[in-house]
Amino acid sequence: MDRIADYVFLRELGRGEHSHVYLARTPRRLGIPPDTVSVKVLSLTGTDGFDALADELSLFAALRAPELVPMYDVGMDGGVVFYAMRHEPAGSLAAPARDLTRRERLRAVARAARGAHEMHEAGLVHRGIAPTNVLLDKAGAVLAEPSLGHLLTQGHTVSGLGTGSQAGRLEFVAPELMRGRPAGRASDVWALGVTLHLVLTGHGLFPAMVSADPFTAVRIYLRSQPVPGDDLTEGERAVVTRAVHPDPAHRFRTAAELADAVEEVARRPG
Amino acid sequence: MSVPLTERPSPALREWPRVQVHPGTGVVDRRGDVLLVVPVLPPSSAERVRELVRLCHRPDPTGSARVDALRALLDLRAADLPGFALLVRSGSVLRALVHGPVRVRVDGRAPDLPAGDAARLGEHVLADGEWHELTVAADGDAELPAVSEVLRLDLESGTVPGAGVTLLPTAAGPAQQLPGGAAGAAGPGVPSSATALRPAVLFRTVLLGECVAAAGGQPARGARRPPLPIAGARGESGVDTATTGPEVLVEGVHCPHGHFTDPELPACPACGAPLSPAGPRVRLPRPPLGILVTDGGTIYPVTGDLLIGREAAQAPDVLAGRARALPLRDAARSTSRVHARLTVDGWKVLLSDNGSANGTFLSRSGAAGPWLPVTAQIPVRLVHGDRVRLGKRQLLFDTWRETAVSRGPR
Repeated sequence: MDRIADYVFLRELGRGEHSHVYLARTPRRLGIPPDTVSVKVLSLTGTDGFDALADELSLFAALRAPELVPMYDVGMDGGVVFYAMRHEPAGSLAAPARDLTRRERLRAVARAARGAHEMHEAGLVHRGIAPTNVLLDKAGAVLAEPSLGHLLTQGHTVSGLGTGSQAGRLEFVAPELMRGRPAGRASDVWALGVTLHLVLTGHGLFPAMVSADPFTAVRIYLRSQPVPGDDLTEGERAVVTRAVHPDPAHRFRTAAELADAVEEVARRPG
Repeated sequence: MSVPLTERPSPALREWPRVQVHPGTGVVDRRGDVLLVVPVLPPSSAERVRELVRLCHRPDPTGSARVDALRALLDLRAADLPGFALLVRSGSVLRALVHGPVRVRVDGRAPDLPAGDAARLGEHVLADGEWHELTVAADGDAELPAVSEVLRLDLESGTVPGAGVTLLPTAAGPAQQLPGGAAGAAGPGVPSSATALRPAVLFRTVLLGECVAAAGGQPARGARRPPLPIAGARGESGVDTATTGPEVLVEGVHCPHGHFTDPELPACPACGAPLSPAGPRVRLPRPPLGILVTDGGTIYPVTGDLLIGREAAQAPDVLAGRARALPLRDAARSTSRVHARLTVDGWKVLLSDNGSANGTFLSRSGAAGPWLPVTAQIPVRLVHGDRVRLGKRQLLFDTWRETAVSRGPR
């Protein structure tokens, strides 16, 4: 693929489970200064949901919060849905362009939590918070665009675990969603807690799930408590434990409260 | 767009007759050995015509795949396709495949061959040397539009507007070829239009964020929404009430810990507390009855009927909104398009085969089996831990029954 609509791709930046991301030349019609933008091309089929998706992204982009990635354009070309956003060359918490200090990682997660809070206050749920979606920039980090797959596919899927390297994505899905409960503040707070734990320790909250096949992984996930790693400070552990409480009502009430707690931990020496 | 070329056309192109395009608003597309003529382009069939053009551009070394694909397209979409003619060069013959109100004339006469009707392709086979002029135009165009002889163009490649074409065989033999660089309108050669037009830009976009302001401020899409509820405050307590699925009321009982569940069960599937068969029954929205996990790791809550298969999303019941799709990709096609059906009846989750080629099998004892066949006639009630095999793919049914760590009620 070398282009979509009036975006000419310069190179591929990465790929996700249902998307490819390209660096593209900025079409003049966008009227923005950067020479290049990042374009995500969705490989999900089904364009019936395009209007719902455009509404959701419009609301997200209209927030124009400094903790959320700026979105420029959403479109459809020959039945393929894509959207353009600011290119963040510093990478994400999952693949940072340079090594980050522990404090930088804490602050990046706090920024993402502030971004999530802005969304929640506007009635939007992110559904896709994970280290890959915390994009690093000069101010620390921005939260990437929300996960929208549920708008394009018929019916709803809780999660794609994927196979191999992507197993372990399951733990970003709050357990109550598996029981058919709607996503909301509490499920995004859960995902922020899992993200925080992963970027601090490098491993997941359900160690037994590593290398399990999907059936076993789901069984383990549904029947065990999250276990924060030993390599957390007391303050970090307290934040993670509260964010991933199995009962949504016992987690941080809002993502802003989680951000406050993470920033408090980041201020402490050590 | 008429750029006279000075290079010599390649031998393969030289074997082709000269392609003169009649002015008009249809589409003429030439790519290699394939020439597509759509004399009239109704706006409603634009997508179909793009499909046709894509089909013509597809590589086809054998020469038969394209015609097969064309017939398949015609089987599916005959009514939506405008009249067209597809001319394919193979060996020393020119095959003209015709659909709809399009007429092929050979040396000014209609050949005594059947034209294409609504559902079938008409086919003319024309051997080299047996004709001098061939025209393709809309049926009913008595007078062919005059083609300018001032600038005699030849469509070598590309997509251009046009109402039809006239094909004139080029004189063969090296003596007739153009002397290098001596092309001109007055010369014996034919200047050609090497159109390499890109298809017109066909996309729609919605500007977002700061680009909306930059474009002069179109109104923001989507209604502003109220803030999300805060967990524990309202509607997000520990008791399962809100779900994302369609709401169906069922009769059930509350277990001692407040879980709403099936009155026929001896114990609550969520917490294991024993249920009293004499307990008061209430009608409430049905909670999800479990999840289905695919061997690829995708999780589907069971809130209503599901169709399972390679092309489940296209099943009529799914398109009509009566069921959801659980698509299972399977390159080996061991799984049928709509392989099996999951029906939710009260508190029961029932599985039946959907006339699949390889059958649906159920194991109550893990991957090792035994695997028992599931028929279309007698649906099987799924219980916690059941594995289902559909061709090479597998599903696991899980009702969240506590087995390892009890989370208990809160």
